Amino acid sequence: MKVSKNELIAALKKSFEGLGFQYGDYLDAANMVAWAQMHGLDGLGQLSLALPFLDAKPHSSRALEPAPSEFWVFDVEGDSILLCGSQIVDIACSVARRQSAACVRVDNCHNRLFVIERLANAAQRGLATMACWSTSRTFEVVAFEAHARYPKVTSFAMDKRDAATRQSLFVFCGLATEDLQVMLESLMPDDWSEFGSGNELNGDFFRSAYDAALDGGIDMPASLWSSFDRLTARVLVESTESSRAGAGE
Amino acid sequence: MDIYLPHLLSLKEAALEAPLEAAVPSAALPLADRGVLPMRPAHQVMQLDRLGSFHQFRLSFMRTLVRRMMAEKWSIENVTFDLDSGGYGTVIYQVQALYGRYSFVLFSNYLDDTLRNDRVIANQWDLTMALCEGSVDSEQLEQLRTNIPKQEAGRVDSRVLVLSRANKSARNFDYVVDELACGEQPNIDRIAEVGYLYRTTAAYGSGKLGMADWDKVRSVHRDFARPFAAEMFTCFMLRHFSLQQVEFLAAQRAPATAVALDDRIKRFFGIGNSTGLGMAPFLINHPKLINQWVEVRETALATVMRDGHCSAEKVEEFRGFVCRVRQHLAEIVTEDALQQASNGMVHDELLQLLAWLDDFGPTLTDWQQLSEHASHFWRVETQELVNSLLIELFPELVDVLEDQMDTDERYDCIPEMLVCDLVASIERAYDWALEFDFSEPVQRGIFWYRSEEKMEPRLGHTDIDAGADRQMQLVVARSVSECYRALSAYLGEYPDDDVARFLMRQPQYRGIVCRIQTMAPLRYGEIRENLAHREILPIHLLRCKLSFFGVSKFDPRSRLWVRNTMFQGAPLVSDFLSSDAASLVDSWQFPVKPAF
Repeated sequence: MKVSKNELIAALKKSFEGLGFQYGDYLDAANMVAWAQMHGLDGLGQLSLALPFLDAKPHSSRALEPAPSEFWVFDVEGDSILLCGSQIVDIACSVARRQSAACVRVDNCHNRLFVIERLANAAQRGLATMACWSTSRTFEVVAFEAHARYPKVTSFAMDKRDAATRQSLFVFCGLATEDLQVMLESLMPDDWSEFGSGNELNGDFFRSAYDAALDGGIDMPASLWSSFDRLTARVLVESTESSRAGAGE
Repeated sequence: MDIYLPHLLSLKEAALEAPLEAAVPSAALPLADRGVLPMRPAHQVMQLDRLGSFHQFRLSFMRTLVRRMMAEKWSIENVTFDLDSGGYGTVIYQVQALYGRYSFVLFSNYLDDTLRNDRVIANQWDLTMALCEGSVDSEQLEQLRTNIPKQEAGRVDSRVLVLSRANKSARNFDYVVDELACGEQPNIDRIAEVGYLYRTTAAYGSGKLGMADWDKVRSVHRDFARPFAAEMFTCFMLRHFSLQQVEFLAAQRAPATAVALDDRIKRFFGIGNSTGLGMAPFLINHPKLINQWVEVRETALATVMRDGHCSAEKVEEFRGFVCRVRQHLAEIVTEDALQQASNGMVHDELLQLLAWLDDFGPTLTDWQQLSEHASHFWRVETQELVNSLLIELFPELVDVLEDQMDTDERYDCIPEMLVCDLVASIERAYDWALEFDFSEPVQRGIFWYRSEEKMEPRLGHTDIDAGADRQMQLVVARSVSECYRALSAYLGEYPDDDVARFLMRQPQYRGIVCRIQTMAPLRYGEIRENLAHREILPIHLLRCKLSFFGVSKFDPRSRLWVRNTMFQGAPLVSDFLSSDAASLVDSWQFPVKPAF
């Protein structure tokens, strides 16, 4: 089954609303997933893996309190970036506007790939943005030039580092890409230079993925579509004879 | 009983207001030298009852579509006309436009009279149809045949631009076929009562049900790169088919006596449309687009006010428009008492306008004099009708705006904005929202929700109906008020903080803060009404959007849905290449019965 981008975003909005996301949060979360899917990063596959966890607890957005540190650090206690990504990137942007560059670390955060759409959004508003995080086998770096529509995403093979991870995500925002690169490298382990060049996805990849998805539609697994229906049903109101009058007679 | 008083300036107050002198946003205009225009203020334009008084105008989507089709001489030909003697079967038209080729595929199926229902909850229709890119091969045709008649229950792919359905007019269809079969033309007075053979109840596009996204349509299919152009074209094609079908049926029934419809009567047939609450949330959820539409309309009006010359010829042409509209109003048949009364009063006020033109037309120096007179003495509906006619008068000034109806719909948060600046922004741009007292029961008397039945938007009564806990976020004024209170309190504690820090601590306001930050710099876009008011009239929302579509002859069936007519009086496909094309292309606004 194929769906369109608009249809995907509409279904995602209602699904996240059904999960308890609030107005604003469900719009942003829908855009985050759709961006990843439209640009060839298997957003729907990632979401399929995340949905059981997202559905396991209530998801109203909550206040974030930074932990004392030389830069901004938040412990989101296992939340998905879909829920807190906007707050995190907003803080990074606002600090960058005041201080020319900012770094925010988020601990115990899941689904970090989806932060890319938030970075893209900030880049469109004139800031250079970056993010990095470790998975069990890779170290991922995403970088947008200011005003760029597409990022450069580099994936470095990095075996046996999973034990050390705190499910952390680093978000950098700044007026110049060079400043962010310096900040990123200051956080890198000593053997950073041994990571090699990594696998790189550039603007051509993202542009062609987007164009293909727009032109031909998006493959939607039937099971995920059913999940969307199930979640959407939570925000629908049962129909009665009386309620039918509320739309016409 | 609580009386609903819209937040509208009294006529006296309105008269005291000087026109807002403001620079026109450059992005909205193609002409760098338009300079400063006397734009009307938002607190006048964006009142719900005024928006609900808008009429079609030169830049309405049907009007611009017809101009484009005729200017570019689009070719529309039957490649399949496979109907049985009952008029049921499959029809395919091939459309060659300037930039691309399209197929319009239509399925005509038998429908029992008892199953004919205009509501979105219906699941069978007389006609279902799709506008597709390119040519349709046999495999795609079968896919369409399987899915299009199911409408919302079917699936299509991104080769489909629009999907729609329609039901026969019980009052007209058989009558017209009978007359033609007998060799007679249908009685024009009877056609004037219901000016169509079919009534469409939905036209879906923009990616719904797997169709092509709007981003694809506007970037790949330039022929339909204006908002709702593909949807309007689908309705135009439905009209074309309906005229072919009645002639076909008459010829089938009585080959010896049947006649074709007179072209003048053909043009007087439009397509009916039935619009309900489903259209209402669109206006709230797409404020940047609504801002753009209203901005274009107001720019056209302001340009006419500043640059439109009051020559004797223009005054006389305007007088002709007014006479035509009076006839149009007199010919509208509606059972709705309020609409009847409104049409009657506008009809009377237009007579006063003719008398005013007799007195002042010869010495008129600018059209602002007429506008000011209308504001002082005539109803909002008459004022807006006059505005539509003034725009009509100056194609040379306004037609250049017809490609300006689209906009991006990004709604960005500006995290670095100081909270004190956001508060000031609300006080400046959303002062109207802060005036509602939501502690009053009447101000929260209804709520909007989605029904489990096809997700149809519906209204519920607070404290009576179930579902308030799942209501849609459409009451912007209430959200702004709540956010404003929270921001004001926060400001006392953190006077130097910015929005990012406010949202870090109070993330529940993120959605409304993004909206405020996006919309506050724009002139129009927010409808200045409390949509939770117990006596709200959603029909105004529908009428506003329909006016931009370009419909006419509003026939409210309740405060929640309205019938209307599309393309009535518009040129026929056969007119595209005729020698009369130039005289027909823009002569169908406010259609009237053809004279014989």
